[in-house]
Amino acid sequence: MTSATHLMMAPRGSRWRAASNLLLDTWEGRIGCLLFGFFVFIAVAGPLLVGSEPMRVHYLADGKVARLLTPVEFGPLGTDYYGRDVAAQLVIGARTALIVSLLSTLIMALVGTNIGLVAGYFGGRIDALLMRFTDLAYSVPFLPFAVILVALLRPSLWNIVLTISVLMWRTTARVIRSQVISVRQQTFVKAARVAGASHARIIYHHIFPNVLPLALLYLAFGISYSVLSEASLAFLGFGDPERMSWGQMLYFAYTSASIRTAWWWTVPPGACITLFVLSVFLIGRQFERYASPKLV
Amino acid sequence: MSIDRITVSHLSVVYGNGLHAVNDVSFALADGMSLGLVGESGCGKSTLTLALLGLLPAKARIPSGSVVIGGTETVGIDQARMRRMRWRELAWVPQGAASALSPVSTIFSQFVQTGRAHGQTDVAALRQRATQLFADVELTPSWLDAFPHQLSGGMRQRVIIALSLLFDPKLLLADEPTTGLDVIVQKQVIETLKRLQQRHGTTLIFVSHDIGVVADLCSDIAVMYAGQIVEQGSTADTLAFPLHPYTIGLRQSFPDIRHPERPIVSIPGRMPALSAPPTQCSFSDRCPFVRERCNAERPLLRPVDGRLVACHFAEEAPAMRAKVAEGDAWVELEAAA
Amino acid sequence: MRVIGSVLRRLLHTVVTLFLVLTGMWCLFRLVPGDPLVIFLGQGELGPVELARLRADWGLDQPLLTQYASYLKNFATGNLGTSFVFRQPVSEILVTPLLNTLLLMTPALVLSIGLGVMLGSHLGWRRGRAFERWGNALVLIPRTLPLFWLGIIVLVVFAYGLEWFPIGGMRTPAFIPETWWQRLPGFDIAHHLVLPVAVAVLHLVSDPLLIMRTSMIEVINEDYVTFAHARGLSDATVRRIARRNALMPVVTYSAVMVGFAFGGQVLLEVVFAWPGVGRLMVDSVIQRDYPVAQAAFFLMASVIILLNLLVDFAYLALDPRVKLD
Repeated sequence: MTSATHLMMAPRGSRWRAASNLLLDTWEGRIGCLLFGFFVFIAVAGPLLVGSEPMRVHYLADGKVARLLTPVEFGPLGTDYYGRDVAAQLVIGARTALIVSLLSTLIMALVGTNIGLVAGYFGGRIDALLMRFTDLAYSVPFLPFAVILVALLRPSLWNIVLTISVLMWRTTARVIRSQVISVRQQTFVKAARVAGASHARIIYHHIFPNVLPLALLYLAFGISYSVLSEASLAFLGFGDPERMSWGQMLYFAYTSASIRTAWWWTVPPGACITLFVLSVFLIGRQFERYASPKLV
Repeated sequence: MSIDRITVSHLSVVYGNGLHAVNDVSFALADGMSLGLVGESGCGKSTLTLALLGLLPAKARIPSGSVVIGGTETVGIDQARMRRMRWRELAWVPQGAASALSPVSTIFSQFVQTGRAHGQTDVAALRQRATQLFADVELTPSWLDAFPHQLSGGMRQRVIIALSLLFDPKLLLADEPTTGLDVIVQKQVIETLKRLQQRHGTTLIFVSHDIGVVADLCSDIAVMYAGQIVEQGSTADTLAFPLHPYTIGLRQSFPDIRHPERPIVSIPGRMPALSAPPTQCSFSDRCPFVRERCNAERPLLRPVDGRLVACHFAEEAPAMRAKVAEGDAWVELEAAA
Repeated sequence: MRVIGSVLRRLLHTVVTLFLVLTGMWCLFRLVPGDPLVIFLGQGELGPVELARLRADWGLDQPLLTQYASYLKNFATGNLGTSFVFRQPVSEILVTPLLNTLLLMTPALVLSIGLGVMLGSHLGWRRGRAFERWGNALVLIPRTLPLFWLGIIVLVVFAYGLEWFPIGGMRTPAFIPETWWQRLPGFDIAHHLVLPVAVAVLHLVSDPLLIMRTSMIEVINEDYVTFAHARGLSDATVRRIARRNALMPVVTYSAVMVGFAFGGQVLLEVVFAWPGVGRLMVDSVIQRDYPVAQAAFFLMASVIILLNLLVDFAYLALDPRVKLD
């Protein structure tokens, strides 16, 4: 049994302590949690601190639009080409990133894990059918498909979430299925069958806790992947026009030909995406330590 | 006077975590001699083999001792010189030989690879040689072009034995080569090894826990316990008149076809895993003849009756043997525990 | 023979997959709420008579099943429709961009797999401590950076800033070579290729690298590696044996990698204004030129599916233990 399974089987109270040990043991885990916590903080409290009007156009004293003001002239991060407050955009972007990634990942985890559990447990024709379906999902290039889907459905936050989840479950399904296949050979599963447990009970009560560490790991990957996907879609021009996101900031920066000069506009959104993905990745590595320690 | 093929002097091996796997082992073999190295699992015989081959894993080291093979000191030798010696001077049949072949190449290509590493590039000659070696281990030559996974475990073991004989090595270390083989194949392998010795004067170190095979094949025997050699001498003498209590117990644990009524002994307890060099006799807590001196002073290998024994009271061996033959020596020990 | 049977079965599987993708795409495009024609042409540009005529021209007035049938037939015969925007057969429009994309993707994939395998096997072979930790950390940075942002930064620094490389596109209009190296054939294109390929490689290299490293670490502990040392094989030969055995997971991964690479390709083509099929697809989607968008997407999916098939065969050829199913 992996240490993570030990974790799952520990009594409720100590489970929290064990989990926080898991995450905060290494400096990697600590930095990851710190960064992620920082983004959550910005998403929640940011607008109160920095201003909550990312779309508001600012004007100079003489009535002209306050384009591309440097951070010295307009704090804390200057304005973009359209006279809008960059810092306010950045903060709303954090909110968008969290919403999109958490929602997509939730859907992806639910769908992918269940498909993996069912396919791996039942095997045979059900498995073949589900895996054929998964293979099909693998044949399709993610971003091009997402582009088409979002364009067809009109770019909105919910459509973006849907689009990302529609393809992202494939990795989780495949990996969970492999794990289930090896778990189901174990004696305790056979014992449960003999004892008369129903399929559902075996799957969710016996097998699921054993694949949970792996599922959590892919949850972490899912969060990074969905943030990057949303950013890419937004950069291509398919972001939700009513919600600013980091990717969309870069879309405006690029299309207004401002990347040469406005570093205060170009660098922060990309840095935020990178740090956000990094934080989730570092946290994910902690799960990996317990799922397969010898390789890390 | 025959030249010593291999001389091991006071060799010790320690693992990174502090485990003393081999303690102060010494022996010397002349050309043509065959030494059976016996002992239970974990006694250090495989580690000793790896040390002699210069193949210890990174976490193990040799803190003291020397190994001289064919006149060359191999402890601390530079890798290039060692490589030149390999397979011609010193060959190996590993334990669990079934996985010793690379799965992605054919068997013959691995022969060629070995040949090429030692300057033998004539593929036709290699094929002839390989075919002949295969015949020696009763394998059809057509298997040369197969992939390892296509052969059974026992067949792969025979392939490794054939491969080890490629250059008629002067010294051959065989680690449990007949384990897992059926008795008929086992006999063939033993015959092949005997022939090798007769024809080429190959020195053989045969590691096994099967005393029966060792009795058949090896002229000399060394019994290992807890990283040390506790008794060493000619196989015939040692098995007929063992001097060390452990050897006595070991011999008694094998059924004798000539004396089916003799009780079979099992030695209770476990071999200690040493985290420091021993200061007392390692066998003392399992020995039914233990006395104060055993727990105070470590016995060194000393000559008794033309053999080497590491026991303070080896002179009393005949009495010990008689006691064990009655069958209650270890039963009493267990009762006392 | 069993081999032929297995090959045929895989080919059949590929054809079925292509067919399913085609059907899926067709359904997808029918999801568009409203009349595709009206959406494309906007409101009130053409009168109802004109609309009816265009609808008939494009076969949009036929029953759905007939449309589906003719759609399939068209694709099978290579008729990919006519572009709404360019008024040209789509198949003609796609050729050059496809070649341009391959021009960028091929070196990117080859280099990243090649470098990944080499560095990964090196990292796995010498499992030294400091080198390994820093190596692992370093490798992951390009992976966590958003690709398009990396591209923008690289552009700003090396193209706008240092002016070592052109700002974008595939060729310099009216290029006049001045120095001797500029006169070398293909120089201009190669000059434009450097930045996008470099960014692509940075982004793609970490996966094969890590997979190779992990695989190598596992292989090194295998018995056959120790036995190879014992036989007196040189360090280089033993490493080659280990590498050959460790390669299999990378081969498996490369199938997935191509799909992943296409996504990156689209972004790179937009950032570096490379006239490839990815950028074409994005533009055509924005312009509602559905025939082109559809065909471009299908082209990308087909390349992935076909490459998957090739990788399957490569795996069969490379690993003798794989049984033909």
